This record gives sequence, structure tokens and C-alpha cells, in this order.
Amino acid sequence: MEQLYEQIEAYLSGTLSTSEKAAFEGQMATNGDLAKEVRLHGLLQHEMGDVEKVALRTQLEEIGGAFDLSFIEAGGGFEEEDLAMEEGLFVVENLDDFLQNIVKQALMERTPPNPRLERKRLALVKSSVATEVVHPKTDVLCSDAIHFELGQASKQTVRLVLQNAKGKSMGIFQIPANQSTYTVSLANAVLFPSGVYYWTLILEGVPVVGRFFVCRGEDVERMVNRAL
Amino acid sequence: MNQTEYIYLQYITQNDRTGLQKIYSLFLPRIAKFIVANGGNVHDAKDVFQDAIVIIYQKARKDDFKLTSKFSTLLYGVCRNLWGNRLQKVSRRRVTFLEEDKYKDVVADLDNVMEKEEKSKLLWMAFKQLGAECQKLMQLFFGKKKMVEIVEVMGYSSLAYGKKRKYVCKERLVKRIKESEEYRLMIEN
Repeated sequence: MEQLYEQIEAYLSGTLSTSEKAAFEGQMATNGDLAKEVRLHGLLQHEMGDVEKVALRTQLEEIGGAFDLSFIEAGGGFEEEDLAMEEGLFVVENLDDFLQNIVKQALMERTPPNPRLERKRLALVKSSVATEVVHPKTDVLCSDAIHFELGQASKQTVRLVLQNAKGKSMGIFQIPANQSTYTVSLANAVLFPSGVYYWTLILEGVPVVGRFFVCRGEDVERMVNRAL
Repeated sequence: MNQTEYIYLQYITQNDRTGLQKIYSLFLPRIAKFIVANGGNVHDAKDVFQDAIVIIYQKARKDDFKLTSKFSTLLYGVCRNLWGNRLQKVSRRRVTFLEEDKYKDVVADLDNVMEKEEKSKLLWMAFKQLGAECQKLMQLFFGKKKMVEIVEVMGYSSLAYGKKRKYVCKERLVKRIKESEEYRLMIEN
């Protein structure tokens, strides 16, 4: 058998002499099993010899193996079947508009509408979160830092509070007087694990609130499902 | 199609680990939900998902490939199709999912690739069952490395022993392929 393999490999790689090749093909013509065997070896060489594809398969195998889908088996997941899939995911092109909307939405959620106050708040905070991908259904904006740009620098120190979804304070920061921009890095995975967070700025006695998400590793979807 | 959609194809054609992880995070849960709702489990979902990415890879690595839909629609379409085919094989009945029309065009020109990939999949499944040593050895062998190099990389004591191992591993691989139901069907056809 070992010899047969050697022979098939030599035939497939074209290293048989003309006479050997003719003899081998003669055998194949009369022996269906041999012909099948040669086809299979040829297919193997063709497929497994595609080094790049094999590398991709190997990588996908690893990523898929580590991916936790137990929440799907537990009946979790998405309610609306096609919405987000159809829309795909989109990258925010106009960050300012988007952020204004988030701030507005957060205000609506937290306080009864008061047009006068709302105008004032929006004028005070121009933008907040920095970056990346937004989930259309959940509004998830995965942040690696949050950046504040005040409409005008405050004359007093401005207090910034970050809280997790349970309301636990994750840090209180002071934005110095006369400074109009401030950035908080969310790179520390221990301080900021995956989850939803709220920020509150007290500007001249008026609280301004917003929400952001920290997404780490592959558990973004699960985290979102749990958080919302 | 929007340029941002092509980034997903790039992740695949460049075998970009972080990018591929992103694709899994963004799209696998939804596809898993679809498969679980249609008689499968999460392992089937991962399996189908991987095959769909390889199918898209086969298309996308050709220069003239153009996306005619969103990447997510294409991926979803291929997964639906693969899962439908598998259910069909098991039940021996035609399987149609809801909203068939929506995905028909997207995957229309992929039929050929999908069929070829099913064969390739059969070989991959057998390969995966080999032990780590045989997998490595076979990868080197099929990657057309010379036997002397293989012996060195694998740390074998002699060329003769290397050849022996190569034969043993390949034999195992061939045996596993032949034992599979899919191979029988393939040979019959």
C-alpha cells in the first residue's frame, strides 16, 4: 500500500518517466478502484495544497471554537429577526449629529421634557464619545475613550461622574475651570469591563447625562443583549 | 456598494485575525439564531458560518469580484443556502425558508463555488480529526515541502522514518474520507 501511495504521488507530481506514466495510465483504465484512488489523492493535494485557504480554515476554526454562543441556546438573542441584519452595521459618518441625538435621547429618558433647559444643555456640551461602530437596533457605540467638548469653558471646575449600569460610581473627574475639552481613556479593562456606562456632567448646576458602551473581545452582542 | 462594505472582504482575503473576530462578533449570533430556529444547534451554526466565509473567500480572492449587496446580506444568504442544502440532504425534501426571494439573487452566482466547497469541506473534516502531529506533517507535505525539510521541521530521526510517518498519516486521512457518507455520495455522482 505504501508503495502504491508513492506511485500515485509520483504520477500526480509528474515525476514518472514516459513509459512508467503510460503503464500507470494503462492500469487506471482497467482498474476502476485505482482510478478512484488517484482522483482522491489528486483532490487532496489540490485542496490541502491551497496553503492560504488552509490557513484561513485553521484560523476560523480557532475563532469559532472560542466563540461563546450559549446565550443563543438559552433562548437569548434578538427579537426582531431581520432588522439589523438587513441594515448591516454602519460607521458613524457625522459624529456630531449622532452625539447630539444621543445626548438628546439620554435627556428624554432621564428627565421630563423641558425645552428651555434642554436647549441650554445642548448648547453646553457639544460632543462626547469618540469612535467606532454603531449597532442600529441598540444604538451601541463602542468607545475606547470619551471626549467632551464644552460649548464654552466654564468659569468653575466641572465635575464629571462615570457610573456603570448598576449606578456604581466608576470615577469622578474634575475638568479644570477655563478648560473646554476633556478626555477620559477607557483602555483599562479592569476598571472598565464590557458594559453600558453613564456619564453625568454638572454644568452650572445643570446635570447633563449620556450613555456609552465599552466593548471588549467577542462578547459585544451578548453584553448588549444583557444590558438592554 | 459602499466602500465600508469591502472592508469585511478584506478581513477575509487577508486572513486578518482581528477583522475575522469582528465578523464573528457582528454576524454569528444572528445566524446562529436562525439556524437554531430551523432545527440546528450552535455547533451547526459555527460550522455553516465557517463554510460561508470560506465560500466568500473563494469568490473574493478573484480580482473581478464585486459586492452587489451588503456584506451582511451576502453572508446571511450563503448561510441560509448552506443550511437549507444540509437539511434537504437529511430530510430528502426540498427546504424553503421565509423570504427566499430576497436572498435568491445574492447567492445566484455562488452555486458552483458552494458545490465545490462541499467537497473541500469533506476533506477538511477528515483532516481535522487527525492528531496534531499528523495535521502538521500533512500540511507540510501538501504544502510541497521537500521530505528532508519535513524531517527537520518535525524533528524526526531519519528520512526513512519521516516517509513512514507521512504514509501512516495520509493513510489515516484517506481512510477517514472513505468512511464518510458524503464521500460515498460524491463517488456515486
